[in-house]
Amino acid sequence: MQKLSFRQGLAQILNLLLVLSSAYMGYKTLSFVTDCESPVVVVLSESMEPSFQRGDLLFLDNRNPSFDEAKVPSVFEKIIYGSPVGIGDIVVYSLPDRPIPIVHRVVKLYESENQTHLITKGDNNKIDDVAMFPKSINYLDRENHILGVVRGYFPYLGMITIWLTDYPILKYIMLGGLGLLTLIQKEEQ
Amino acid sequence: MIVDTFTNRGSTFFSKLSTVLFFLCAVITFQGVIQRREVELDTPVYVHYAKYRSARFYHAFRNVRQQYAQVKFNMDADLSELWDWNTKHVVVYLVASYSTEKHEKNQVVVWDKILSSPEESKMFMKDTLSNIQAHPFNEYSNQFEGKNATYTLHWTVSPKMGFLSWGAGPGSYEIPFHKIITQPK
Repeated sequence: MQKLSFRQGLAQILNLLLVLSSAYMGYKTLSFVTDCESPVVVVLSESMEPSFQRGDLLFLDNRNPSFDEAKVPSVFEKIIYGSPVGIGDIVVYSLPDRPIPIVHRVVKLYESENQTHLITKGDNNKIDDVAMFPKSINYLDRENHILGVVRGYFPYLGMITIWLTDYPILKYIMLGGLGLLTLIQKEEQ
Repeated sequence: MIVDTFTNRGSTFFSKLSTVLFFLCAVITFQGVIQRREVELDTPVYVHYAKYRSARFYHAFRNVRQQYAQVKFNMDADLSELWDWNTKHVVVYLVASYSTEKHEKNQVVVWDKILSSPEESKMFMKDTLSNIQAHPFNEYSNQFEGKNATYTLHWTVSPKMGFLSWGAGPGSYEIPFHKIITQPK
């Protein structure tokens, strides 16, 4: 086996870092384009079954343009330009004392010129979310609590994230594997 | 020099497979937007009445007594055209819309249903009451008097993979809220 030179090792490590930073930059670009701090989230509970199962990936959008009220935006326009939160939209929101965001459907919407209040409910839940809110909150606020609106989804891919969280050993196996692959991989001459 | 080994063949195969799968998913995702299915409904909802009275629900607004409304309606809507090979569920909901001094737009879901097949999407219902347990219909100002609402059927199409899409039928006539007079005990 050819002896691994120091320079070659550095080149391999640099290549791995390039791959990782490209993924990170892609994620941040998506975050910027959608005005959403977490444009991709994983479903962790069953409250939105049967539409979303545990382990599904959701793609979010948090842009809030003002539309001409008479014109209903098409799905294409919603995806390209974003749209305000509407009744029946599935939103991701966070509450002050809950670390994990919640994905539920808007069932009550109150809009005025400078403020939008709403109440959500999980499709698989019997009652709405008011009982989950802290005492000081009766309505969710569009600006303060809503992280994004669900635009699309992909099944099963999020299970990888859940497994990595539930079984921490898998993290080290994966990182170790990546490291070994980087060092062992030969460059074609 | 390229070494032709099982490892190289396997690597090439899975690399090509992942590329093909990626483009297949992209095609499925975007065809759902380009080839979107529409439904035109002709007055799907007829509302008999909307009544309200003071009541208390343990799970609604911290068990505080306030006015809650209930709606009685007929529905005749065929949403089976929304289904194609990539459709997973259609969620339909009846939305009450009205204006108040404080909010130009108030929209409240009063009834909903999850449709799991095209056959189930042909809906015909008579004298149906809105689901007041799942969707307690209260007003932001806690005052229904003098207000009128229109009722619209909305739907969300959940795909097996790709973008969600939305739709709505035409609204009903404006229906005023009536107070239920109860005998004192």
